[in-house]
Amino acid sequence: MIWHIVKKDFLENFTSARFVAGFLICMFLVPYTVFTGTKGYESRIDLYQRDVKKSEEIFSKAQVYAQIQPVVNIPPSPLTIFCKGISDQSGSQVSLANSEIPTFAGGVATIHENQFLNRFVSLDFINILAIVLSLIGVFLSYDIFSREKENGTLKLLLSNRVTRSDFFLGKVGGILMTFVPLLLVCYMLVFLILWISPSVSLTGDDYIRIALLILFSLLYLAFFVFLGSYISSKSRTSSTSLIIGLFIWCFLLFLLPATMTYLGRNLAKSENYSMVKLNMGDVEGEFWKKFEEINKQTEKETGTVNHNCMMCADWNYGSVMMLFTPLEHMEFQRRMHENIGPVVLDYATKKWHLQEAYLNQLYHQQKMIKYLSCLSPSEILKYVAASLCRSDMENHVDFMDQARKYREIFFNYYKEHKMYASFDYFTPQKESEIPRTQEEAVRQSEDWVRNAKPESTFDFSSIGFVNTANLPRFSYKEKSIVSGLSDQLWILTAMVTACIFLIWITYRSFIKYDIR
Amino acid sequence: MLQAIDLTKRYEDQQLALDALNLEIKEGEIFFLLGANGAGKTTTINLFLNFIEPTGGKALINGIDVTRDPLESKKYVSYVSENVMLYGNFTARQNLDFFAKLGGKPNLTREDYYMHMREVGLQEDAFEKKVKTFSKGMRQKVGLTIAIIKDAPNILLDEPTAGLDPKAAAELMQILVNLKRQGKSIFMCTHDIFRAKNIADRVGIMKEGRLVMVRTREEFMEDDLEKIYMDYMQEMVIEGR
Repeated sequence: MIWHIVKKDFLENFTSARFVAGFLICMFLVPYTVFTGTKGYESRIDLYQRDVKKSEEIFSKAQVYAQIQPVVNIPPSPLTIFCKGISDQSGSQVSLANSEIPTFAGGVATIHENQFLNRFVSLDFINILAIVLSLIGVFLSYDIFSREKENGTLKLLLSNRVTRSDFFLGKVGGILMTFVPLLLVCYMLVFLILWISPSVSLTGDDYIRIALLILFSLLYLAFFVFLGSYISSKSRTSSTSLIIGLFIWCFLLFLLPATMTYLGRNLAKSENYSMVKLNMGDVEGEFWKKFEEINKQTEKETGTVNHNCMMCADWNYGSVMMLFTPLEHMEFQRRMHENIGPVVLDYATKKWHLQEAYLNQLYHQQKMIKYLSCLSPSEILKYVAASLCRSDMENHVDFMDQARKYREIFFNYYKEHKMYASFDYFTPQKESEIPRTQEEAVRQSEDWVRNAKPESTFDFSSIGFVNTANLPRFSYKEKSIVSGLSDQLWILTAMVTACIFLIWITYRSFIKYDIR
Repeated sequence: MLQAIDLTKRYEDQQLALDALNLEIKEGEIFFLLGANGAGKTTTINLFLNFIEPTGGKALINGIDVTRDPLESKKYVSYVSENVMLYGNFTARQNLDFFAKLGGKPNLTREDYYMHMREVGLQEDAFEKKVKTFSKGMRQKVGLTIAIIKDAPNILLDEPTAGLDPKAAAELMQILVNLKRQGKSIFMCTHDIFRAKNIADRVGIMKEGRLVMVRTREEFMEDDLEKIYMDYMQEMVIEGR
């Protein structure tokens, strides 16, 4: 009996004007969003490849170890075509310095050529699904029972050997079945577009993630079907049911997330970042005092004054590249770096405590808003989709953690291999080539200027590059599906529970439904 | 055979919709239940089909208590409602096929459908037409075809002639007579005294949930059924004042 009703409802819904209208909207919006998403992904891939090349040059073209401040990049995921998440706003590149642990990522965040367009909501495939699927879900289910009652078919149907439970399961099953071809066609359309896009290549892991996305889309849709069914089981007429259904739909999709974001911001306030920077400035003040102390101490130890470099480039925190400078001063620099290098790292850690406290506030605020806005099923869909598409906050935080961890490994390597205490750290000249006297230094410098072309006086590449083969390199490890979904376990459970609860109360309500 | 034994229904708002109805409709009998709106006619049908639970007494279909074993009792009853809209986007064939399957007749052929359609005077060319293009009379005939296909020994009709033109109503009555000849028990709620006089074997009049009068064909042909009915209605109007 159930199967007959499922088939009847599937056919009835499939040929209904509202389903056809929803289907056509999907057929227009889905290719459009996927096409623009693919274009965006292609731009990001292009930028990423250029960034990686530049980051590589930091290693290959370094003449001293002090010059190396690695830059790490997060590779764009092709799944961001489905769901951009925060990938458009969070930055994709982190510069790692010994003097500071990075708080935020930098690099090109948004792809809009016109940055004023950032003001507008940017739709992606999941946003479209969230709006259109839920709307079709409500439109097909708001009169699931009342239509049969109004058409007189409910009595006719139940005058046969059909229990209310059979009827209920058949009706709900019929609607859900109707959506299977819709979802499949949408996703097949996406695959077709991805297939003809040469820049997009999906891995086996990506396919599993997409399959999970399809399943979750179905669960999301089921929520709205159950919601519409519940409203229908409680309403006397289809028109009342439609009005209530549309009101709840608007509330859940637009009003609730906006309100919860506002509420969350006020409940979990975060410090102003300028204040954090001010406090970091105090720590830096302490550092410079320490620097002066170490400078004086080194001057005492070496009996040399920290001056007189003939040709040098300054980076930060005392890191300089020196050339054609007498050994006496070079030795002073070597001792200075040996002493100050670990201190720079220590003060970076001190500043990090302030940054970390601030970041924790931001995470707390984000979590608060996330959990509050997850009262809306569309937000749950977006969070889970972003997690599956590697564009959620947890993925970004994981990347930042990996970048910080790499920074620690990288500069610990310097410490452990006593690179701060080596001449290679700050001069490209070999120890044997370092001038012994001031006169020799002047001569070397004048020879260099005389022999160099005017436009490349400060291009010392002919002197050679440092060996970076053994330096630790960054390799980004993507979060596994299980790890990604475990971050969303709470909201996933909430969604499943909400669906079970809704279907249960709808069933209870329909059992008591007045079919007269 | 349909039986009501002290069948009572009182709604949650304490309104007494049906007051201890005792009635028996035998095989091959047409019973017309007359009464004003709200007299309890549709409530009686709803109780026989177990759409609502009785607060007292019982309804039996072929001896089966509809409250105790509703699914079994529904094997023996067909139902035709006042306004059979059916599934408008489906053709007559799809509607018939769906309800035939629900009625326990899953393997009917096109010829079987044609035969049943002819029984109610439906043309074969209506078979593949969408029901939403049908007139009310045609839809009612499809509803009757559904009832006939089920081949249940009892047929309940709730004001099936309401809104039909006289020709369509007369055709419907002829179909009921044919069904009676096949031995079906027919229970019909209506306001239509004229049709009752034409084909009913017995007529009952309901007033405020009570069956106030039952007359056999011989009795109501001797008396003036219209006058009796109007007298009861008049009483109600006076009482109402």
